[in-house]
Amino acid sequence: MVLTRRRFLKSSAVAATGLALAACVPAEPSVDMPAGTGSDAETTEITYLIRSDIGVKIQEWTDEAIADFATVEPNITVETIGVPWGDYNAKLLAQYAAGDPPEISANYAAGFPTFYANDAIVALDELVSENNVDLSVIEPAALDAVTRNGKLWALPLAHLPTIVYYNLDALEEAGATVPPIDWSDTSWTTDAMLASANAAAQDMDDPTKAQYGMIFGTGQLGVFEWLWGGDPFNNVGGPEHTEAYKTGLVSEAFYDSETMNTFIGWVYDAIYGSSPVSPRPSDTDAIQQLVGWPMMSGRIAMAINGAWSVTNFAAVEPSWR
Amino acid sequence: MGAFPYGPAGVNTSPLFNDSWMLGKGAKEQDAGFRFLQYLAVEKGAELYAQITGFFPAHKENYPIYFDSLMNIPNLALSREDAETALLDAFNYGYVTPGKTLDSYPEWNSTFNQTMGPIWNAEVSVADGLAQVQAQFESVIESKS
Repeated sequence: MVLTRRRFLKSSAVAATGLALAACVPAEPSVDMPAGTGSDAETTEITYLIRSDIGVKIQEWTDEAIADFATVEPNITVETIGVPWGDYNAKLLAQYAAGDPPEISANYAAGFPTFYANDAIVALDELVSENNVDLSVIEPAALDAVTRNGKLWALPLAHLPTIVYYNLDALEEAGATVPPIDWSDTSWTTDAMLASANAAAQDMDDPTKAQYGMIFGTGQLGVFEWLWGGDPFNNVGGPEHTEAYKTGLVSEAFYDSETMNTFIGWVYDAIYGSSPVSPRPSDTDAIQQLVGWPMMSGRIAMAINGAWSVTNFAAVEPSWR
Repeated sequence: MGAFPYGPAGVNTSPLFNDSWMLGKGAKEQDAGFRFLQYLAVEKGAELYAQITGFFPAHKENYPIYFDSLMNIPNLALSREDAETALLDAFNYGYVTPGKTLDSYPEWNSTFNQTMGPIWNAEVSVADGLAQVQAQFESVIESKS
């Protein structure tokens, strides 16, 4: 077998991706082509930095998209470089510093603002215009999220809100209020959710059989404080007042604010208060070890999480609604 | 799936996440790179993304693909119309989450999670724990300035 540069790069990517994903890598071509001859002569090679520890479905999509792209643009070869979440941003910045960045990277590891702040990515407006790319097909809020100083710095593929997941059987059995689908329904409040959680919670003194009313969480860096009218990075009000969300640069924090104390105290009381409804960290860990995301256990009446968690339900067949 | 609750401040601001793809500055093959980016975001790559990953697509014409696949989930308690309302209306009430806006987010995330631990383990009061979180954030901010 001739170890061409392409094959070497592909082998490197597979090694970094790990054996668990090896089955997902597209099959090797059956015939070796010496580099620089035949159809390879006109080939342009681009590199694509992917996460090596990403979920199976994303890996499957990556493989299928690259394989299909090869049929659309046979003269562009996409080589992947796999790195885990924790190393992703550092890897790209190191490649950038070395003058050899990958053509394509993704925001898997919360990298967009870091890459933007480090001037490591290209504003896409001219390329979009030159190639007549119709951006009207993309959700405007998703485009806004990757626009800085009036320029577009990335193209979004996914756009995901944070929502409430619920176990309808558990809530109906308890006679509890079910979360509405109507986002303008102001009767659905944190107090109403807590009341539903209280109604659904059972056997809270026995972690082996408890049914928990809710898992609320804090949001990233505590931003569920937004519901209480605050934000960790300004002392005026909600996220619209935080300059760091526009520049990417954190210059102040307000974790000891009265608003943050009230919010965290509310979540704390749901775990340790006189009428607990949420699992303690050790109980959450135990459930996670069994089923992954605790909601999948069927023992949680409501849980707040991002819309990506829907994929969990596609992989199993819960016995509850 | 249901709506985020309104808090004491009278808002139900839902943190929004996006997964986006970028073109590296200084990469050798800018045109070919953008061609692939275009394929992923607005052509067949986006369609495959909606079909395969289960993540809500940013490409609006691929919404039906996503909702079709959603309806295959066993015991889903929502109709297709209700699922569309629960997910699509969320964007009118959302704000982009810090992981998608702050430089060095993984570092801030580690700082937050580590310093919140004593609170969640009931080792300190909420007030004392948050004072420690604040001190640690100020220390990291100072180290970066």
